[in-house]
Amino acid sequence: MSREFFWQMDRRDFLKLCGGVAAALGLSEVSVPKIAEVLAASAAKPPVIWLELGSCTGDSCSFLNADSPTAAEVILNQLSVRYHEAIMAAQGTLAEKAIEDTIKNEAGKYVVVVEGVVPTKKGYGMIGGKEMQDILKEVSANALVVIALGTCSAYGGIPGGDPNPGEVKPVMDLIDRNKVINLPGCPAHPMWLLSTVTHLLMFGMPKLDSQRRPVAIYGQTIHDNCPRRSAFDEGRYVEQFGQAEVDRDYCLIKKGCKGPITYSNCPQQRWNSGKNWCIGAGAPCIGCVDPKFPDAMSPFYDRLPDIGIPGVAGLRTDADTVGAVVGAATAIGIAAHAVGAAAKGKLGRADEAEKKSGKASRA
Amino acid sequence: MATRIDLNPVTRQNGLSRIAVEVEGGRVREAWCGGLLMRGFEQILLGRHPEDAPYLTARVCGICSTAHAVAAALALEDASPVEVPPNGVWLRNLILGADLLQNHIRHLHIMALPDFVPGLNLFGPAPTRGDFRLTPRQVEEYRKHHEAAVAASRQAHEMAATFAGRIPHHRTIMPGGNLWGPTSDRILRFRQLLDRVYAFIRDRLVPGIQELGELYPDYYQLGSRPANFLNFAMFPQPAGQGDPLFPAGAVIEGRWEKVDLRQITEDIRYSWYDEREGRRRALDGRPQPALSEEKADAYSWVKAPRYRGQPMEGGPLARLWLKGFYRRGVSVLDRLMARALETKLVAEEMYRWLDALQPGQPSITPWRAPRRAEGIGLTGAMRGPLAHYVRIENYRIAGYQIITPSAWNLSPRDNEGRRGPAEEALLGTPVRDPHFPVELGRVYRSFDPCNACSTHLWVLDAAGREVGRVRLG
Repeated sequence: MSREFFWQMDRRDFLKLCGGVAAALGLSEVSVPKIAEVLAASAAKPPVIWLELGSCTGDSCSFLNADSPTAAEVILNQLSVRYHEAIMAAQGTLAEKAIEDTIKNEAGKYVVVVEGVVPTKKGYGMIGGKEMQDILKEVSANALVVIALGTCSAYGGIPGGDPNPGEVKPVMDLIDRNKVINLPGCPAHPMWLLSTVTHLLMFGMPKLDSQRRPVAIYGQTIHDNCPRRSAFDEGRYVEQFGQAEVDRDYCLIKKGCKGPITYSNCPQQRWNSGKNWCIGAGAPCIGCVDPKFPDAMSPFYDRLPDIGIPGVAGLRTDADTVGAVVGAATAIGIAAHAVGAAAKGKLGRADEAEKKSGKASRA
Repeated sequence: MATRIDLNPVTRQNGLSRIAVEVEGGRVREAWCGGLLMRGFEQILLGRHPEDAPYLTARVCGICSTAHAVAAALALEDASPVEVPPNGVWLRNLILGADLLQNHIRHLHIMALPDFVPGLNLFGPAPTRGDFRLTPRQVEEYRKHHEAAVAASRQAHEMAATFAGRIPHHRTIMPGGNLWGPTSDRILRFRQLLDRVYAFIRDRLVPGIQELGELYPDYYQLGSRPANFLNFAMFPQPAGQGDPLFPAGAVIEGRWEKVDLRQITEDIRYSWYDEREGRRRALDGRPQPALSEEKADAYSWVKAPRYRGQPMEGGPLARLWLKGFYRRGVSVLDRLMARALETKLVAEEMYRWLDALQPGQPSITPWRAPRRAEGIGLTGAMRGPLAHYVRIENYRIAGYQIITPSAWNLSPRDNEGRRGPAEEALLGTPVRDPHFPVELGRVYRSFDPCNACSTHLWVLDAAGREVGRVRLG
């Protein structure tokens, strides 16, 4: 059905989709024809096995929201998703054969997408009587690339939050780390997956940072590109939820926004076909893409400690360099509180509870 | 001689679950449903700020995330009362309503219909053999609907994002209301999307399920169980403006009664928890029972909630039954039909909520965490009644309990050995080919099961030997 489906697609829609992929990759319009060519060439169609482990299915659900009319079907068919536990239509031997054939006959060529946490405590996540971590190891062994989609599989996410009841571990700690690309987000944006896979097809492995995130997606802070940034610089802040200032694009930093320490292209990409995004709806960023989410980011509505002085900003660099910069120049406010929050673990938990509870966030 | 079929896990559903059945004389004689994933949300919430709960608990489920957000916000408002402005009530209804449209469209088209219509494959290969009764022309029609359904469910989520920032996993539902208020441009955008989604529901979704009923009339008999239903109020109106769209209520053996929360108990005889305490009253703030993974008889992480000791079913059929809107019967097709009709009903109601929005008026009243309090938040969710219980001490969460709709629908046996609703519904289901038991999937998926994912199936003979092994996709 995939070929048929693909050719049935209106050429204008198809180019629109390719344009979206180009934008996500930070490529120029000139590359659109090349993307179209790559996507259309059946020879370049890698098989995909989508493993849903300890998940809420939010990343799959988000992926179904991929925009441009019927883009989800086109890309999925172009990617040849052979197996997806939660969504595939196949039953019985058909499904079993699809996964086994792929592992055996297409060793070194297929992509594994992992959604959800991998519990390592015995019995906390079983599929067909097997421990999830064993399934992950088995399916990944012959894979070309393993994409940890969503914060859960990339870093542990909410189920890995204190006290981490299932002793969940990041995918990259359980299999060959060099094969892993992390695409965190709770959930992950559909375009993050589409653009990463397209990059794999066209140019090979994308440039990754030390947390194995593509730099093209997770290279800058939300704060750097925030449409409310001028309000931050000029000192116009939302002091309380429900104020008219929320609608006038005042900065949400005092309501706990974690944009200054959170690396993703959300401000440019926006969500749900570009209809909106968290800060766009007056909701502070809670850093859901961060390796230390949720513990280092909660309470979500408490202000980051050691907030930098407005005006010092303009720190246009990636997550790795920030660490280095901080070591050398702690005076840079924005970077300093990045380290502060990470070192502190769960921001201001019980010990500070009483002190904080009376603060503006709940005033 | 009985054949045992073990589907582990079941595909095309959210979350991990397992169905085991014994088939004798071509029919299911005994059934067990188990949930196989333990994430321990209630432990993770301890010590966190109460305001984080509507966001964190949304992650219990990626396909009905806003229902958890609403239940958590209601629990916090119960713990520390605050008047939610009318805009806040309508906006939450609109966000939850849009998420419900998304859920129902995706469930019917992506999860349920592939059991009846061949070739509805979004991913991977599609089954072509089995008890399929459609003409090639009808199949072609359903395939067109399928593509339209993917688009409509995406648009339903775009509607929700208009007021919730993004979705799945909203960013705006808080105790006190909704962070993002209504303006004329947002209302216009929402309405335009609603028009498109409603046209799909009216012209394709509902007729498609009606047609399915004509092709598979036997499924108006299969998957039946007693009419025992439970619902918590869903889609409220602002204080003093009337009843919620779906009223709270319990139906036991056809008799209606008001919900009495003290009658909800949770049994753990067949779940992986330490049962030294015996039967537990639910939502009473006591700590969770300890996990006991090595328990011999246990087969599920799901506890067995009961109301007056009865297994209760929740979801669209229960809601429409209690509302008096649909009472044809209790079966596979009644569940699917009720889900389609509810989708249409909620979409129609959303126009009214949209008209009630007042730009320029507040949509949230700031809420303060209390030093010490407890609260219960109850709402109907996509799949049935949802309860959140919170206890706050020293301004932090000191106890949290969630009873999900699927805990009701997919519960294991209780202390008296009474089966859960899905287990009851599976009894008597004919299985023509034990290596291809499509009938089990049809019955089980009519509940819109939510436990997550996929696929192993063992076929065992009476002595427990494996005679074949198949995967269920």
